[in-house]
Amino acid sequence: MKVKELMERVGMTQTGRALAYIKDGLDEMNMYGETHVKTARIDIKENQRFYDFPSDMIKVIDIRCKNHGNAADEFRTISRAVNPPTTEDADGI
Amino acid sequence: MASSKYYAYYIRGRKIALIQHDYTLGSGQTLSQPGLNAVGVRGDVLWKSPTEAVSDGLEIEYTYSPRYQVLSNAAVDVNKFYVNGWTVIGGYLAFLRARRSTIINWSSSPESTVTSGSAGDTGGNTLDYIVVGGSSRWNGLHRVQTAGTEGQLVTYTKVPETLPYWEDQNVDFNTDEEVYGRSGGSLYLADYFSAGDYVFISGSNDEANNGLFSVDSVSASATVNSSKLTLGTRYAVVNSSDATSYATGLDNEYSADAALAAESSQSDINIYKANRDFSYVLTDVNVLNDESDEIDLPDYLAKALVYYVKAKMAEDGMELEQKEYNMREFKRLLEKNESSKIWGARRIGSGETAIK
Repeated sequence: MKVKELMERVGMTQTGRALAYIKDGLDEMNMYGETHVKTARIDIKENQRFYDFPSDMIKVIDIRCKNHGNAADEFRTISRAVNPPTTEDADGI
Repeated sequence: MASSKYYAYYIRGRKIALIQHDYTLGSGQTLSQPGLNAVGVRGDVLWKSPTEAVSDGLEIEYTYSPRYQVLSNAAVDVNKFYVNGWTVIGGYLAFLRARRSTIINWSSSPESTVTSGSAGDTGGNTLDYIVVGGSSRWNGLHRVQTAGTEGQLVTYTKVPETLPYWEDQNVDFNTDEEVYGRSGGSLYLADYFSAGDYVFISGSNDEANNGLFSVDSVSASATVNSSKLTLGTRYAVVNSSDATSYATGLDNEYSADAALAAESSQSDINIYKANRDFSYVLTDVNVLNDESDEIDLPDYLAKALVYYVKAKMAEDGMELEQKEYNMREFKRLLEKNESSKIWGARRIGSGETAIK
C-alpha cells in the first residue's frame, strides 16, 4: 500500500502528519508483533560490561552468545540475571 | 578449539550488561575458580564482566521499524561499501573507510552513490540516506551530511559522546611506527590516547601512513615531538585490484602490522580518535518521506495501520470512543496476523535440566 492510498482511506490531506503517524504505527506494530526482524553481532571485549543496543532496535527478541554452554562456536540464548553482581569487578563496575 | 563459557545479562538503561561465569575446567574434572574466602554471599565473584574478548561474540536479534527500503541488490563497491569504523566530527557520527593503498574519497565514483543513489530524493527533497548494517551500534538509517574526500562520511546522526580529533595538523611519522606532533606545535598526542585505542589518520602523502590503526603504546612527554603514539595494526577494506589484500575477500577486513614511512613535511594531517567497527553502508535507499512511497508491510498489516492512523486522528480531535474503537481494531488485526502464522500441534521441547 502506498502512503497516498492510506491517506485516502483515512481521509487525511496533510502528508507530513500522515507520515508521522505511519512511522508511529510501524514502531507500535513491532512492539506488539514482529514484522521486521534482524540480528546484530557485537564484539565482546575483555572487562567491558556494558554494550549499546543497535540504534534502530524497537524490541529485543533474543540475546545469544558464542560458545555459551558449548565449545562448538554455536550461539546459544543466554539467561537474564535476576540480580546484577554487587561486588566490584576488575573494570570497576 | 574454543572453550565452553557461561554468560548472563541484565539491562541498564539503553545498554545491555553482559556478565560471565568465571570458572574454567582444568584437566580431568578439576574446577578452577576463586577460593571460598573470595566468594560473596550470593557467589558474586563468580559472575564478572567478560573475562576474555570474543570477536562478534554477542548476538542480538531484534525488531526494527521499516521506515526505508533498499531497492537494489547489494553489491560490494557498487552500492555496498564497507567501513572500518566510526568517529564523531562536530558532534555528528562519521564513518571511516580506507583501503590499503588509498584513502577513500566519498565524493568520487563508486562511493559517490552515498549522495547520488538515494531513491529517497522524491517530492522535491534533496536528502541523501544510507543504511548501515553489520555494526555493533549504528545499524539502521542515517542521513548523509558530507561525503568527505579523506575517508570520512559525516552523517546528521548526533552522538552523545566526544572523541578528540585534529585536522590539518603538522604531524610527523617515523619508521618505528611512531606518530607525533611537530616541534613548535601544541599537539601532545599521547595525552589523548591509551594503548588499545584506535586512530584514523588521513592526509599523508604516503598511503602507508593513512588509515585506521590500533595504538600499541603511548609515551607521554612535556615535549611535543616526544609525546608519541606507537601504532600496532593497520586495518583496511579490501580492494579487488589490490594484489596484497584481495585474498582476504571483499566481505572481510584486511589487517597487517603498521609499516609507517618516515615523513616530516606534512601540514595537513588529520587525526581522529576512532572506534573500530567493521560494518557496511548501503546506498539506493528509498525512505518513507513522500505520498508515492510504498509502505513496507504485507497487505493485511497495512489495513491494521489504517486503523492506527484513524485512531491517532480521532485522538487529536478528542473523539476518544472513536480512538478506542480504532485502536482495538488495530490490535485485533495484529493478533490475527500473528496467530495466522501458527499451524498444527504445539510441542514443548524439554530443557537441558529436565528430569529424564
